[in-house]
Amino acid sequence: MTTLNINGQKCDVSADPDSPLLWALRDDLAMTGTKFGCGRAFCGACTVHIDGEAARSCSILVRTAAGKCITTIEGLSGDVPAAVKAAWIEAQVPQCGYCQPGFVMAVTSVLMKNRDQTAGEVLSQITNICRCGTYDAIRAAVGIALKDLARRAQATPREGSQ
Amino acid sequence: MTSETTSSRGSGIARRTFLVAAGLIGGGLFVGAGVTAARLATIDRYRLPAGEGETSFGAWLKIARDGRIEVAVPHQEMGQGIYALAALLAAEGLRLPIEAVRPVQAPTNAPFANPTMLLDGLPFDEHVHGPLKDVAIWTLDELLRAFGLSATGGSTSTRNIAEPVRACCATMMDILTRAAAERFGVETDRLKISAGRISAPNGETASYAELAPEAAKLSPRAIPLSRLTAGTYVGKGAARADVPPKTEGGAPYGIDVRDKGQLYAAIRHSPRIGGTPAKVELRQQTPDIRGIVTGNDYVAVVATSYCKAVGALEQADISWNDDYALNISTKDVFAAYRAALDDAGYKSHFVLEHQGDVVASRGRIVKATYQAPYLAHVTMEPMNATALVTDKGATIWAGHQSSDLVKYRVAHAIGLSCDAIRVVTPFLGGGFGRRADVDYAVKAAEIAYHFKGTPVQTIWSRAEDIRNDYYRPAAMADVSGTLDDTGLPSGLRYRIAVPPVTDRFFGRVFAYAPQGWLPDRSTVDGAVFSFYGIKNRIIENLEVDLGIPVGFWRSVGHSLNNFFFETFVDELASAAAVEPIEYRARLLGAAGEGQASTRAANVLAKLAKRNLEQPLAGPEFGGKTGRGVALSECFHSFVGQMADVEVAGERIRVKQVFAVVDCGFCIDPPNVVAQVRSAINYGLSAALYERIDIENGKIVQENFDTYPVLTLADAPEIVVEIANSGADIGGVGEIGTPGIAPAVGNAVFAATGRRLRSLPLGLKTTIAPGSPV
Amino acid sequence: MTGILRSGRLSASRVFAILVAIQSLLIAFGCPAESTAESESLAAWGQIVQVLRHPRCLNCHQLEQPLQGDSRRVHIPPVVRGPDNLGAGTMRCYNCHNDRNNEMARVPGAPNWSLAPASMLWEGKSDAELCELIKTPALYHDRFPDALLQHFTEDHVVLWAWHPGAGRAPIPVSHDDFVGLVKIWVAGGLACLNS
Repeated sequence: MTTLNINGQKCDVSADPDSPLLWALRDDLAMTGTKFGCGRAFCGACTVHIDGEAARSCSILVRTAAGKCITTIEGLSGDVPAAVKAAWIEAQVPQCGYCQPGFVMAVTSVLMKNRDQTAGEVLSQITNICRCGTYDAIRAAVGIALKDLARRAQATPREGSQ
Repeated sequence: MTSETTSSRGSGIARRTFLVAAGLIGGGLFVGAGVTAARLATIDRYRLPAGEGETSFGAWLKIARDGRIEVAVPHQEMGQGIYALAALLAAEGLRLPIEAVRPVQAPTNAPFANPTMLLDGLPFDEHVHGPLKDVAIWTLDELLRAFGLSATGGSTSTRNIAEPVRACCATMMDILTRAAAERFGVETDRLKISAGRISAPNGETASYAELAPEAAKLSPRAIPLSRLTAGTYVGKGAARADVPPKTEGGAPYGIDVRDKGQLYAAIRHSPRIGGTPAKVELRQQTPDIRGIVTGNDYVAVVATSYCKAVGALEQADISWNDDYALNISTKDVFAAYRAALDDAGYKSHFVLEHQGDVVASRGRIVKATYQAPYLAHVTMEPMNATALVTDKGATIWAGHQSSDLVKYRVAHAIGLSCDAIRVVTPFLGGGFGRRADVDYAVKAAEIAYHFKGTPVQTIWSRAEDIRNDYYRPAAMADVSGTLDDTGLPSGLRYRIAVPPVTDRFFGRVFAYAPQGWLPDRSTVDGAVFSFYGIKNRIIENLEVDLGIPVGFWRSVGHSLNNFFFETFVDELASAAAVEPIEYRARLLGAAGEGQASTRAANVLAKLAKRNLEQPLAGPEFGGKTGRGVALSECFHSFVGQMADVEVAGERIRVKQVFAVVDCGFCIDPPNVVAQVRSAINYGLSAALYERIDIENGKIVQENFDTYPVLTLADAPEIVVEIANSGADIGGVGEIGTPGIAPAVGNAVFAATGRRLRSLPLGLKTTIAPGSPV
Repeated sequence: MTGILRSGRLSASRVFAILVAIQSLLIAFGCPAESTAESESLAAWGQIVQVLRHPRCLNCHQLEQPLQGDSRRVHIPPVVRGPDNLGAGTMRCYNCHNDRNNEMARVPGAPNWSLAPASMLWEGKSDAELCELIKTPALYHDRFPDALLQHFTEDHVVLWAWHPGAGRAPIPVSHDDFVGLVKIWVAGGLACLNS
């Protein structure tokens, strides 16, 4: 049994520690928001956050993820994820939608590290694959999210400024 | 002899085809009349099943227990937005906010049909009308409605459901208003309808749900439909209800099914096409590994998790019998194509169009040979299905493109009746035509058959998915044109060597489907019945089939022929020393007045306008820039594309694409833009990167490393302008795909002077530039 | 010799002096024993450089982007060196690579998986240039040549090259033999050809 910290909860999984985290999530825990697209870290559909960084769960082993803070698409919360998801909906990004949780995870990890980037800088860090070709809408959504985050930053005092 | 039927030169095959077709139609009329009499307007008589507290209205609408309206959709949601479109039409027709309507998959044991798709495939000229064609269409339509074959494909979903859903809405509103009129004791024309409530002048009001019990007692009347025009949502669009769950990870796909006690199967197919399992032995024997199943051409290990199944499959001792396996390679396919094209007496040969007298045309000859590779679909969600089989029946959970085909094929495979098969359809992580073939559901059922009473989910790895596809066929075409002294082609000969995809698909569906009786029109889609005015033309296909599995890929034959044909048009323009847009305008002008050429000319005019207003930008990467165009007519819609490229070294960068779309009428314009962008990117990915190679009967490619696809970094900005002509609604989902390859190829020519005649576009494989023959 | 030492009649320093004298005579007369070590060192280098150029090593001794596989194509998905050799943006090496191979995903892994430092760039260098580079003392923070041997015997990413996982050819020479070659090369004076 390996204990994993997922979305703030401790979860025990019986998956082999040398098996990919993706299948512990999907099969042991029935958390199916994280998707299987290629199984070889090429496509990014399996992206989760591990200690705040976008990681490809089809490649990261259960033993590597143990003891770290794992966030899946189901557990995203906070103003950056909220802005990204709202932007995704405003830009009507998903078509078949299968790759989109991976994109949302990748984009939120970039913006959670640094929201003072241009859309081009953010997009240059996204290597996920979409077969429905929603790339124009993704570009628009990233722009919308950045504007929203900038607006929130102006509207509310930053942390620690009191 | 009209232009509807095949060759006027009286070749034996063509005449036989005509006679067979006439016989079928004649026989069909007889059968059709009988069946129709027995099940007249079956779908029109069908009523959606309604449970406690629910009321259904016809085949399409139901007031659910929570008061919301459910609209039944006999098509699957694969990203094209048909669920949202059905909800939009229902909301419009019932004068409700879009949130009050939810789309649901139509019941599978109901006679929904998609005649539009099959009728589109008939070998008739779309632009010519006549009694033979009308009778054929009517008979097929009736047969399909009687038997109820529903499917999603051919960019037909919207066209298929728009009228029936609107008609059902009109009928339902009529019944509700009549019920309200009775309840309130006033004339119907004094009632007010707003926000889902019907009100009397004195203020009495009732919701649709409240009126439903009385309404159900009234008999429905057919209400004449007005022509589709802009309304609250129609012509503007509406937010798709599937977008939030797809963004948040809550939207279920076939691969996400998690039933209690579910087992998982990892499947491996024969590495060579046509191989069968010989020796099969599990090596891992742990309680989690539940067994190994041997199928016709596959082996599957079943375990308590997919991971464990994969591990046990890797370690199993499996060998294959290759006695009947293919041994050919891609080069053999192209050699066979070349031989067929060179063989004047080639037997499996259909003439799909023959106008005028090509032989008599005189003038300067322009000739070229084009080719394109096999392509895989590569949906983001790999093939999978979950099956629960008992002695009495089976349930299949899968993303697919036809619930009827799933039922029929699974029933056939496991020896049950169709009625005993229940199909549950979640969202599809991509279809693109792959999921029209339901082999993944059949295999899942066969595997689950050995674990009766337990749901078993069979997942294909990406390698299995790519290596066991039904590919867009490879093809080779010889095209030649004779330029008259104005530089326009007075004669055109188009010969394509390609397997008969539709025949093969139906051969997989129905064991007794006739093969080779009728020409497969889809193989020349994009070349045949062109809107250009080429007076003397002959379009032929040569059926060459070496046994590689082939199927429907986004835009089907258009994906081949639009590249071949529009590149050739560009070569004619070059030979005539006329600018490509101007040349096409002249070709359209030569066609004279006709709906097709007018629509194409309008689209072309928009390209010309854009070309002037947004000139080609300079190079950003130190390369050469160029702009190319292509026109296409695909599934009754017209698309013009203009691609701006920069060629630096051997790398082709597509910087921007401008597309003009005439799809008749847009119910949801923002979604049309999204679909056209999607289709362009899908076609561009293939144009730049994709190819499937076969070596000694084995597929070479297996994942995104060996089968690269378009990524965010190399996807161009795509600007879509909608320019509707007001014609009938045309297809939308696939129409962007055909034109991007020729537009980019023509742009590369403009930039470098190198003419690319094969796909994927690559400067290493270019035929050396030279003057046309 | 030992007999003389045991009898105590010759001290260690005396023995050493005799050896030096013998060595000097041998050097003076160009005895083959000295050039044997050098030619052995050169021969050893000839085999060492083939290992260094093997995909398992060369794929990560790149400037900006690692290569993948025996076909040595550019790494997919696209990744770059980044400021600390560990990737940039969302594509940090450890976001996909574990401390061991992931056979199901066919993703290689070892502790501290990363690109080799840019100072250890091997791609595009001739055998002679590579030879001079490898034996640059500054690369080893003055712990040369111990650090060189340590790199080959203790660094996990190097040891990985002998157990790279299915679908990747391991180094064709055994690890023990390779270490032996390195020792011969060092012992023989780190011989390099001047070309």
